[in-house]
Amino acid sequence: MTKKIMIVDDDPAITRYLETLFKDNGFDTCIADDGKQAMDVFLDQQPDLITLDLEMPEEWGPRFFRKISKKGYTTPVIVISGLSGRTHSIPKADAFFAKPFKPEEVLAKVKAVLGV
Amino acid sequence: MVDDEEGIREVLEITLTDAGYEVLTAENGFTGLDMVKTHKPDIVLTDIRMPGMDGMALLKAVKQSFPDIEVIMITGYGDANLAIESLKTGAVDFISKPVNQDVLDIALKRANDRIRTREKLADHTRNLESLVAEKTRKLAESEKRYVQLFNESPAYISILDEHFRIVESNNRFKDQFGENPDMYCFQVQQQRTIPCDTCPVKETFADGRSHTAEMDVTLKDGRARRFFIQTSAIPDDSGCIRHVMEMCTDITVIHQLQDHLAALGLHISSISHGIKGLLTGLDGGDYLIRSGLEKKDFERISNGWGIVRENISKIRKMVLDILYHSKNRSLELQPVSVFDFIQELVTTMDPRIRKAGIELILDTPKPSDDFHVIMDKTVLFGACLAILENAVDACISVVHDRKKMTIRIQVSETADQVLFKIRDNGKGLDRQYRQKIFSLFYSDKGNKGTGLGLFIARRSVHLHQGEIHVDSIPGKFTEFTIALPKKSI
Repeated sequence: MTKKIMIVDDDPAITRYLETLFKDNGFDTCIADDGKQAMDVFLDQQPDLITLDLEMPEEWGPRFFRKISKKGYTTPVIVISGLSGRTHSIPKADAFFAKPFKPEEVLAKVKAVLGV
Repeated sequence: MVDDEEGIREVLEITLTDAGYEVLTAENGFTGLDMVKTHKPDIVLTDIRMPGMDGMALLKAVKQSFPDIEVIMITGYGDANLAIESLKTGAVDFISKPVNQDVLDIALKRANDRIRTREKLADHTRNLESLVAEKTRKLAESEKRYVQLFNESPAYISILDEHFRIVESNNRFKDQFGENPDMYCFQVQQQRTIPCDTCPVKETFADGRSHTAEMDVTLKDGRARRFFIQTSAIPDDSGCIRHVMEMCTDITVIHQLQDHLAALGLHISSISHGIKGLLTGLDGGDYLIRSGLEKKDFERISNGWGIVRENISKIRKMVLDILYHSKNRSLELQPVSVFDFIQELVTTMDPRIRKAGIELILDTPKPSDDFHVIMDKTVLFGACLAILENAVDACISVVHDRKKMTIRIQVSETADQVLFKIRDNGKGLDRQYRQKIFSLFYSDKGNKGTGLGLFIARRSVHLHQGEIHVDSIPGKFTEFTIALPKKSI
């Protein structure tokens, strides 16, 4: 079954980049522009993995992560952010990538986490 | 020499003259006393038994009028009691008849010793008096000097008791904070009714050591300054700390410099964050174009190119932004229509204001009574936008307790100024926060505020040689006023 990746980032250039990258490699995708919208998309789409930006308008990444954790979801999260000190904000994330990231590294990590 | 026996007078006169004394003789007490009054001798030698005024009476009279004159009594056989009585009355010694030369010498020596001792004592007393006078003068001089040093010290010095009451202060302190007896330092410097939460004076009272702090204070003319405070304990004789000295230095300029440095640091970190995002976007564009070329997918190439173009324009804006901030840019002044300016401001903010359900009231020039103000529009627009955004936030924070939220923008002219007023009926500001809102990184909006908006707004207004101030009643309203000089800047 095709795995679905949710991309959360407020920069449309980056969401399109990741969307194309993942689709080219055989994944389904869904997109959210900020932390608040992310919850609706997450509940609606039930993705298998989330790539999450930290700094976004409305609600920032870590809060969204706490909310889904509270609801009992253990969906793997990969943080992709330009913020320094990013490792402290979501300690339970499966991986951290600094912007600008190397696409093959992100892909390898995604595949490893999803076991494909 | 007083004796009624002529023979004794003669013998003693010769003996005493030989010993180097100048001798005057009298044959009874009355004559003797007259002679004493006239000649004031150093020593009186008198027979104890004489007709008329006897030796005891003469002794008493001499001692009463001239206590410094030494009196030696000459006694006869059986006068032992009288002799002792005469010593009690003040005679220096007594010799018995017939007069023995050695005994006379001893008595005279004793008299002379006493005279010398008294002279020394008198000398000493005189020296002591002049010494005391000299020391007193020096003490007064040095006290005056120390008061002067205290008063003229180039710092704000005050002495506080344990209730933080100002018991003494120097001239510079009085100049800037006023001279009100029995005032408390938190009243005078902070306009507070209770002591500050953290206070170096309190710490010094507790442990006796010197402490330091930085504080924002308000001078009596209302100006806000940043002070560096140092304290020291002033113990009394028993070692108990009754007072603490507080010395303050005005570090407002240094503080502003710190603000600028911090702003620069913040700017750099936000730029670096922005650049990382842009690079990622460019990577995305690159990926779309390359994979599009491989797949001969024209739409993908077109999307990728769109991303590249968009990021190039962001980079251009960012570079210009950096150049704008990094050099001391001069203002691009031009006449700006107040009507257009306000229109643009309202258009920018309208979606947010409308979304929050706030009523916007404009008391600004219409096209018919529009006028122009000389300004750098970009710079001042940013300042007004920051204030307006704060007004919206202030309204939103009380959205649940207000039936009607309003923001009023007013532009008016005086003889030499143009006044922009932005007033909201939101949560308002406490007096103590009103001083701080213009400082860097101060925000009462928690994570939502950066503490930059009003800091930059104030700088922008100051660049125009204008003034910005805020008036507020907590829970009622907040009103910002920007006053720009009308004359060309």
